[in-house]
Amino acid sequence: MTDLRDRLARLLDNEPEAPYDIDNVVRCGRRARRRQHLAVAAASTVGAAGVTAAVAIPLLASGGNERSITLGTRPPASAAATHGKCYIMASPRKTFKQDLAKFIRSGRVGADPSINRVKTGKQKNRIMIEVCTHGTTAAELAKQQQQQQQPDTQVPSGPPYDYTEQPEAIASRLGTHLHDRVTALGLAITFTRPFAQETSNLESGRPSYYDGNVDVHEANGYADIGVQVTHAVTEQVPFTGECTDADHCVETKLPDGSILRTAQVQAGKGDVILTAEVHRPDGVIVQAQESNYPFGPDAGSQPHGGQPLTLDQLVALAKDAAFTF
Amino acid sequence: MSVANEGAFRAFALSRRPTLRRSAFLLCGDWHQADDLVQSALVKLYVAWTRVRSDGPPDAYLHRILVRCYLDERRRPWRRESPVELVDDAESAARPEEDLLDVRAALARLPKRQRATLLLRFWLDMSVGQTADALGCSEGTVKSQTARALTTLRGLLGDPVLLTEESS
Repeated sequence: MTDLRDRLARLLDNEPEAPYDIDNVVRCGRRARRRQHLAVAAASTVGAAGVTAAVAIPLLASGGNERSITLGTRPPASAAATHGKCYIMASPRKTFKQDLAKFIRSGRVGADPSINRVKTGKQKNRIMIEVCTHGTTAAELAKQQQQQQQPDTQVPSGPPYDYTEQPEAIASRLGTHLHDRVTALGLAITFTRPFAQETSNLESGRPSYYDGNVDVHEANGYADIGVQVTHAVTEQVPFTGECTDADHCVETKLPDGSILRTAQVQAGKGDVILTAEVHRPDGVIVQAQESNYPFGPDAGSQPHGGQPLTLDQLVALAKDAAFTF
Repeated sequence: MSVANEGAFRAFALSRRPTLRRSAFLLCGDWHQADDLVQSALVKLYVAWTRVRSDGPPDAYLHRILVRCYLDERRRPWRRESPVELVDDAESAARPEEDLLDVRAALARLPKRQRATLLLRFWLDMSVGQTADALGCSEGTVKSQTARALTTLRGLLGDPVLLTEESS
């Protein structure tokens, strides 16, 4: 592979000067450590189960100052969908009321949340409270989580999610279904990238979503169709993010409560990706994509030019209930 | 973190950052994004420094973080598999760096995990096992991803050397 290595090295010939500032790295690292420590400390007040699922969310941080910090505990999978959420909020005494009001206005816990004071020990100048959706407490959520989670001391972090199928079986089932759906539309598949569990948390190896795609061929060239399936509880995959006019993004609420987003992205000169993304009420997120050019071994072949599926067909793919795990 | 530990981190980060930055560029194909990736990776390393340092040389851990940052970044659907802007044919034919542009464009066409696999295997000289560990997948997956990536590169570059070297 000497040749490839040489070629890679030559790509670096015109390396620009780096904006090196190690002090900035250290400053950011210190802030990250503080957030992590606060998160663990806060989560420990709601039970041991909360510690492993704790994440730091700077919801109330404003303008980069660290006047207030809100810490959240990720609810268990089923609780997220059906039993609401809980947050631990720490704030200076002086600004506590306005911070709390601001947090409630954010809509994360509804307009009438359940609020409980948490003992802060040495932190005399701070008030720490537990804010939950109405009728919920963090202790109840932690208890539910303990009951649902299987013992898994090897995984230090990552979302709690119990698979009812083996990952390989899920991947195989999704791949077969995509193949069947595409061929049923009369398209010839020239390349299949099997569905695989992708890992966001590479330290634990915990899967977060499944992703597979096929290259298809029609008389005018090659194109690609892919599907990604994930679950909202993982919060590992930053899907659409902002729905902006720049991406021609359109958001629609479907009768079953799902949110549908369609968008079009210019991926390069003449390369266009169309996306249909459905956020289902049960937390499953399916994103169907098609591009007017191929990805796999057919990459570089004559691009299709147009899209192989109509937008309605792409939306139907994203709404297909069989894409789930 | 103690002063001594922070000092050790600074020394380590300064010594590794040039290499890390180049690896990041080969992953993402953009120097600005590469700098962002390096910054993210080093901050994550700082947070875990005390633990990581006690486990031995943190180089492998650092590259694992870098790849993870890259994969997470590339999962944004709009950026998934996005190719680089292709240059005009007539313009590229007249430029001596045409080959470089070809390689860069070919790399950009690779799926993100295949690209990461190639980088770990053939740029950072990691073994199949080390690559599997870094990517959080099986050794078999690393082998298949490598084969697919090389097949794609061969198709795009038409380079017989890649084919002969693949079997080694």
